[in-house]
Amino acid sequence: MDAAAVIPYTRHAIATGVGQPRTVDVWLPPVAGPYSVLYMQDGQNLFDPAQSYSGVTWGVAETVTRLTAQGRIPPAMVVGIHNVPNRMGEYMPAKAVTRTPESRRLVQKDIDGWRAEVRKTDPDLATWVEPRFTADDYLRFLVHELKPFIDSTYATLPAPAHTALVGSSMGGLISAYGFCEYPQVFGRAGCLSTAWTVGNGVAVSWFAEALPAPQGRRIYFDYGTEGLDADYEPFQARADAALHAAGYRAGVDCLTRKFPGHLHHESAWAERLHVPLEFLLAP
Amino acid sequence: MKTPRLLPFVLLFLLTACAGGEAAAPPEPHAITPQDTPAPAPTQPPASPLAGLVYSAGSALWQINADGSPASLAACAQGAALSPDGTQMVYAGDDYDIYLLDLATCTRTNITNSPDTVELNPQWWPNVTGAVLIGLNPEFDTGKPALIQLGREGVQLIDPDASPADLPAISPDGQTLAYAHGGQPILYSLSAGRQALDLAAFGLDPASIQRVDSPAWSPDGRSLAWVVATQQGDDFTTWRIQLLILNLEARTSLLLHPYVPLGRGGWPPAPVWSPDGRWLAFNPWVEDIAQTGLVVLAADGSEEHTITVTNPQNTWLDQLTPPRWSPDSTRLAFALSPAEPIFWWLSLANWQPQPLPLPPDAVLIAWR
Repeated sequence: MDAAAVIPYTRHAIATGVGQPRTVDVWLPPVAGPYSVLYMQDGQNLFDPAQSYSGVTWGVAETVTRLTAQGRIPPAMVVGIHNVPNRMGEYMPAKAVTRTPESRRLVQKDIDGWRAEVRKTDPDLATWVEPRFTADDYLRFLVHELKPFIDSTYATLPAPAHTALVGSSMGGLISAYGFCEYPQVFGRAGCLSTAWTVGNGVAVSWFAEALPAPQGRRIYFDYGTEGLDADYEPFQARADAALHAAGYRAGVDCLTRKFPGHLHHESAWAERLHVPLEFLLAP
Repeated sequence: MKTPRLLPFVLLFLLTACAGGEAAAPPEPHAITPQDTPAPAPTQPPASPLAGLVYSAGSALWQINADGSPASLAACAQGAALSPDGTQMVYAGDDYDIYLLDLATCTRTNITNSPDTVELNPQWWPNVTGAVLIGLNPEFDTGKPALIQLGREGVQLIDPDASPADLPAISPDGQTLAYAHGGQPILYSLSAGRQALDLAAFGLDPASIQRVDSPAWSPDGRSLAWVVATQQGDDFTTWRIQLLILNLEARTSLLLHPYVPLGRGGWPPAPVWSPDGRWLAFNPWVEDIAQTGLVVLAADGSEEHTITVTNPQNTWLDQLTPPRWSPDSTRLAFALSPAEPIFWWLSLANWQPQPLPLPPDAVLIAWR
């Protein structure tokens, strides 16, 4: 496929239970189902370069198509969930923020810093959205609204072993959060360039306590070494230690990969997406 | 250089009372006008129902006057741990040492000076003078309770084996610390040391209580409330969280308000007793969004109210902003996150939540 092409997809507006309907883009592979389902964060960045934050897509449709044709993964469909202006607040694991007064303070300190940065170029903060920690509402939406809709509309394999959350950066955090909060729904999680650094690692601390038992589940992490990713390694090491302490076996139940030279960017995630997809979806 | 891995708690026992003084120049005041404040009478204006509520905003400390206006208490504020006499606050600094803030002079004093350890989440130790309980921070642990005596050197680790998930609670007489270890309830007496709390002695089947945490002492110290899991297996949809109230004198127990928790991670914060000991206010983490809200429960189980607001989404309380009861136990101020508006109050006379027009950066501190 042409990497610059717009991949055909179906757009839905799904009722959220609270607030505005959520835009969701669904892509089906060119093979018959039933399908494993990849629920992917930042859905704007998946299929259409013109809609993508960086002008580059993840190339997920191309990668899934290729891996499926090569017999390396079973058929899988993609559900791209659009983010909202409150992206940071929605993707930040809320229970990690409110775990202690100090965790809340540490996260607020980062937010104050980001706001100050925005103010340098946008004195009126017209482009700033104060984060509201709605991750639990978001997961409720995925579990109680979106997944039932997808399973009733498409030929899916609804079991947790065929249901994955995938995202990068803050999208990696919310994917790990969903894996921990609803392990009987999401048995797979792919977390690329996970933004563990927020609040000096408060989400790592929460993750260490909240991990479900492996029991056939799989979770994937990775990070680059450039840009924002350059700060992730020590935090990821703590997350890996938590995984191992919880009984996750490297290469079996969990996989963490370091990609030297990779930036915090859609192009980097597109380049290595085959790695988590093979790990998460392989039989 | 200290690097916090997990976030331990820091309990602060401050036993000394510093002399008060003139507050520094107050910051710009802001309007506080409760919607249901009665119109003033010609001669004797009725007192604001919010009079006495203490909060921080704009890095300053405020209290609502009898007429409903905000009065500056201090030009500085940090955290939410205000000393019982209202003259000092304690907080964890960015260097993870504990600081004492004198509200009269806004002087900040590092009272741990421990560059190699992490101390967090201080709280005042009631009925004792000059002591600070802090949490030391081992890897993947929420911290171990430790005591700092103001004016003395060093930190006294209270229970090296403790690993509570939530903040410990100190009894009103200052003699006993309640916390959980491995999901089991622990009482640590300053005189007798550590002792597991035997739930069977309260008529409970310990096997039916799968996890205990988030303790809260009743104001008279005779009862202890915990948040407990009564079902917690592989299938999280069958989980049940309840409030367990132990009467420590009568050796009786009550299990109240069962609900299916939101998700499966984390742990709900402790309930907050009303000063008269009749009520408990808490925000259960409920999976069913229709049941979310602040719950006010009679401690004997005889009455229960779920307080919802106009925007019910995700109306949970974090530990930064626990509900604050009025001294006469008739009113309650609380913060919901991230619903708008953030702050609310209600009178137990009508159970109707009213917006509490505090600045968005406000933190509810106390009601006195």
